[in-house]
Amino acid sequence: MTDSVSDILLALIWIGVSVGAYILSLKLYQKCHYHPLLHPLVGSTIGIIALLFLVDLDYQVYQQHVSFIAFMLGPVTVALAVPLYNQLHVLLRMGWRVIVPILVGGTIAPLLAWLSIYAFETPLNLQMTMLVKSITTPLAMGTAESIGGSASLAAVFVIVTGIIGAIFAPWVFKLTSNQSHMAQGVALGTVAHAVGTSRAVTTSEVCAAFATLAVCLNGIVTAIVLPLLFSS
Amino acid sequence: MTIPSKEPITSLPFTKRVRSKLIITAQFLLGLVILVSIFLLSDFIIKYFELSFPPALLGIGMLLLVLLVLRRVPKVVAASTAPLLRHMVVFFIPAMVGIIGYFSLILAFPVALFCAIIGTTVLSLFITSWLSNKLLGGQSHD
Repeated sequence: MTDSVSDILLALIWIGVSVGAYILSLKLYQKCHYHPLLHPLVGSTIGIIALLFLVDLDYQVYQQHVSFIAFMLGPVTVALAVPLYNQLHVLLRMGWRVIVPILVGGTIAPLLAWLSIYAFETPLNLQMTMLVKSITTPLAMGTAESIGGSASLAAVFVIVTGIIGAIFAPWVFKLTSNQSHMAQGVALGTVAHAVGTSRAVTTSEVCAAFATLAVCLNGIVTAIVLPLLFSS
Repeated sequence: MTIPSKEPITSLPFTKRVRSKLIITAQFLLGLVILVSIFLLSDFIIKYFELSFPPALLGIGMLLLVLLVLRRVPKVVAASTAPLLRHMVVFFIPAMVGIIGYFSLILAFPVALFCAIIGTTVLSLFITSWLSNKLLGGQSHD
């Protein structure tokens, strides 16, 4: 009885700490003009890891306490259907012009990543996890698990990929003389998923809309294709 | 409950504010219940038929189908999806903290991971940006 009460209390405390860490990191991110290196996920993760070391708590125990947050990732992902629905008319009107770059980018990004770690003879679960690195985290985690990778590691790869994409995007757009907000959105969403989209939001609404479309489409196609190819 | 007609004017905006806050919260919670139900249903279907793809994906398909049938996004759904998607990052935190468990793996292959995550991401972004600009660069949005 007292055990379950203290369990609930601990869960509430750690959920509160996690949300608090997020709010603080978000404030910092906004103060620093959305610098990609200060993405709220980076800030809150570093903050919580530091706190875990400080109070000497195992990270797996922490994960148990906040399992409610982890569970909610599923329902929140379902919410992606709404922006997808809102952009459906654009997708239908632009047709292959928007689908082709998303599919090409969505294919080469994991392929190149996989080739480069395959060349270094890394363990198989690392290779499998790398295949999902360009799709949005919630889909990546589920897909990684169903093809023999690791969900946690997938989350890490995906976020880091997104941050790298967001940092280098302005430079890449200059090099490819890409000035179309639609095309920039597609590139950001395809390669740098949700983190790239949060970058696109600061460019324009059109850019954000196309990034969202790319995130959804790439995530869905990858999540369908990979398990078919590598089902274990 | 009825609002007294001779209520002081100054208190009106406040009660209205509280009421609209309550309505927004109720809509948010109702929308959340809908999302959770869709997710649990798709999770059940995936497990029951022993399919191997992410349950959230089936959930996206089911919600999209509902929206296509309704031909609009119901207020309760929009009221919860907008804030949830804006702060989606919160739900990644538990998994991201799990990076602690992979420190030794990451340190074992620093060059491979550096190439895979940084090098190929920039290269892929370059190719995708070039291609999407070729196809969409001349198009106008509206």
